[in-house]
Amino acid sequence: MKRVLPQHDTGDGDSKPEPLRTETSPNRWVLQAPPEVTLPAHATVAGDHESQASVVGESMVIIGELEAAEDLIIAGRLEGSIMHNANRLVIRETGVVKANIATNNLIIEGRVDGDVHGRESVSLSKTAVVTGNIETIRLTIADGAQFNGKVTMDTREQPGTHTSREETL
Amino acid sequence: MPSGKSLIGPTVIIRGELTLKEQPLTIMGRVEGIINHDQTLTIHRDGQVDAEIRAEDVLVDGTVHGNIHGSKRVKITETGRVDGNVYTQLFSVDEGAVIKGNVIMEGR
Repeated sequence: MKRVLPQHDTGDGDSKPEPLRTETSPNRWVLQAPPEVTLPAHATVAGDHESQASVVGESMVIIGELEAAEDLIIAGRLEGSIMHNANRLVIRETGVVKANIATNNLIIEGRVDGDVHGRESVSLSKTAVVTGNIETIRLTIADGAQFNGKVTMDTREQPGTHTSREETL
Repeated sequence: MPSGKSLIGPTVIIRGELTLKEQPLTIMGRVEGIINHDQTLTIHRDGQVDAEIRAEDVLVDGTVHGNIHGSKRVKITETGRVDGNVYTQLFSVDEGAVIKGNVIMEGR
């Protein structure tokens, strides 16, 4: 196909020499589709990042505040606060957290001293020791877990079935 | 999960004091405050540390604002930037690195 210079296409005085960005002929868009050689490499790098959670190792102690927007595993100790804006936060059996925690899905296998807000779910495994209040929509406490505190479950946050069940009760 | 390894991922921000023993630590995110470590600390190319750093080996691929105390070794690679003093025994810098500060090499 014959290429037309951009000066001819845009007669309104726009003289930017960008022959690849003209919108006059829809056929040209097809011709101009760039060879996407670099895309697969990018995709694998991004995939690695996503599967790679941040890890606070067993021997690590953090005193202060922690913010994260990726999955997080705490096997060490943290005193302060946790602001977590990602899918999953896991506190391993060796983990000790003295902080208020806000996250989407929280799995506690270790020790937590503080108020806990799981926007979607909170799960206490049999090794969990939790002192503090829990606020969530879905809660699991395994046999053997120790928990002292108040549970607030706001089922209204979940639309549909739960509100109708409340009415029948 | 890498059990013996700590990783501060790219979206993580820690403000305060971070202490670590016997396990290597890689920082890809941001740490502000103090880092006390007795092993290898790697500051990834995307990592930014505004802290007083103490570790055995410090590898700087990223950006550090603050003093670095490497009890054994400090290495700054071509993407590394340090704004602060470096105290260590073995010191190496790759071409392209940027350092603003004093380097004090303590005798072995």
